Amino acid sequence: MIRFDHVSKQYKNSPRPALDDVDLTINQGEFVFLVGSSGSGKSSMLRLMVKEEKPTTGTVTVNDVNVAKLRNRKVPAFRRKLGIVFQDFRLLPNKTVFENVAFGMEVIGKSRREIRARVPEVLELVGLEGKEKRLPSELSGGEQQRVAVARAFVNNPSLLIADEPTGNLDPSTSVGIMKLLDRINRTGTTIIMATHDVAIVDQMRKRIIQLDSGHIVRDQERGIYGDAGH
Amino acid sequence: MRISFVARELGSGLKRNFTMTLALVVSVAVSLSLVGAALLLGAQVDRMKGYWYEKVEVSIFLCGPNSTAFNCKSDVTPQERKEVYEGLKSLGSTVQSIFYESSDMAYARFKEQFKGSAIVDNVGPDALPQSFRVKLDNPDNFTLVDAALAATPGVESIQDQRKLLSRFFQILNGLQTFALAVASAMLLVTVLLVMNTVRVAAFARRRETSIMRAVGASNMSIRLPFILEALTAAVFGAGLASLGVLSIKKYFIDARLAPDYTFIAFVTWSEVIAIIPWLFLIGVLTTVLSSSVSLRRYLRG
Ligand SMILES: Nc1ncnc2c1ncn2[C@@H]1O[C@H](COP(=O)(O)OP(=O)(O)OP(=O)(O)O)[C@@H](O)[C@H]1O
Ligand SMILES: [Mg+2]
Repeated sequence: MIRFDHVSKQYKNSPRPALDDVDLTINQGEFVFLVGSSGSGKSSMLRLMVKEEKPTTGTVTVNDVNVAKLRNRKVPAFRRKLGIVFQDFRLLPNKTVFENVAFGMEVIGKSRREIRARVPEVLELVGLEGKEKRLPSELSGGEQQRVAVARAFVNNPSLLIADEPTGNLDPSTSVGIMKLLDRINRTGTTIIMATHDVAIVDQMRKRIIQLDSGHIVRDQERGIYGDAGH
Repeated sequence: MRISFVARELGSGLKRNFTMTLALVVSVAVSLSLVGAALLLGAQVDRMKGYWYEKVEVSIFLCGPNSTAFNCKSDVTPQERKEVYEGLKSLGSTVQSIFYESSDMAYARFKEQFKGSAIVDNVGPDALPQSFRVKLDNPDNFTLVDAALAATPGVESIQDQRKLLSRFFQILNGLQTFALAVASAMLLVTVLLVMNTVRVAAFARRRETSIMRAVGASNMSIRLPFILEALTAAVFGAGLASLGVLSIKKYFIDARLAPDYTFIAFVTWSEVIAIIPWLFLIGVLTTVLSSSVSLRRYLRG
């Protein structure tokens, strides 16, 4: 569960706050789209959830943890319960598909046996079985993003955060990624996704939270993008 | 993290930064070689001090046929020699032992010392004066001996060996200080090089570290690969420096110096080997510390 309680974020050299008094609750298992024009504060909100940034005022609670009060030492353990997907995929270019996904398990000390059992499972879930030995450069953009999703999901996070995961993909490939995220959501994983992609949002009919200049201007169950508050 | 994973990451990291790692190895090797040379020089000075201060003597040379000193009218007479001996005896416990060396004995010792050198053929027993070699309870008491015997007939000169040695040791100490200063400067260069190498590596791998952070790798496991890379370079460098120090002993001291300077006690193998752990310790400490500091600065957020 995620709670934003009167959260504001003011970056140092910025004239106005990126987030202004945001109140919000997202329950376990929800699928949420975060929409809004460029600069409206979507990425800032996601960065607060993973403690990449701290709120200027207010409290952000994720999985019953007050993120601002979290000790630096405890951040790694906290992040292991989250999966993060980036717009630019962030794959390691000199590692194979299998190794890229396994990397998420290696760095938190999972055993070789666990890795051998889990990675193929996840690769199958994202539809990449048979491409384990390829390098990222030998994959299409959509396939690369699937690898990134597999890596984010491999440790079974309770919450998956994606910042414009389809931002670099064409529409039909994007649909594939959305189906994948939907499948992951059905396993009980909360998904929060920032996007500009009107078609996808309209198609999925999930909860939509719209930001404008750091304010929530809409919070609608099963919404469509076009309703955009005007 | 599993050891095999860490080892694999280390291998690929070293390969990717090969030139920087090589520069690091060379820099560590050069600076530690200088440290090693300084330590070697220090051990040599200690050894010589021990060897010679133990043997340090006051030599009272007696007049010979060619003496020109004003105390000398001619060859020392047996009577004069006896008086010098009595004079030494009268100094009591200041004089610990008295050894008389005749011209023949001095010649035999001289021949032994300069065996194989042409100088032996040009010097006869007559050229070497007879002497009393006196050991003092405290080398500082030389002045007492000098005062008591300087004017005694038959004494050509009184020589304090320690004075000769102290000048020599001053030179060696100066050399050692110089080597240490150069070594410190080189170590500083190494520290800066390590810091820069780590900074470059951290920048080159920011994608990797951002992923590691995102999936919840601990700070330690994010930094460990960088530190291990620097450490590997340090161990290689220290290994090379150790080989350098051992070669100085084998190919310079033992092969070149020792045969020519038989009267000097040179550092032993065990003393040379005792230097090696220090080289590794210094190498490892400087690189681990400087890479940690660098990571703290450049691997934030
Ligand atoms: N590190 C930062 N320092 C200063 N200002 C920042 C920083 N990051 C974001 N901002 C500012 O905060 C505001 C919100 O930025 P944010 O990245 O959250 O927007 P966004 O909704 O993700 O936009 P986009 O759709 O273009 O990704 C913007 O005005 C931006 O300029
Ligand atoms: Mg953004």
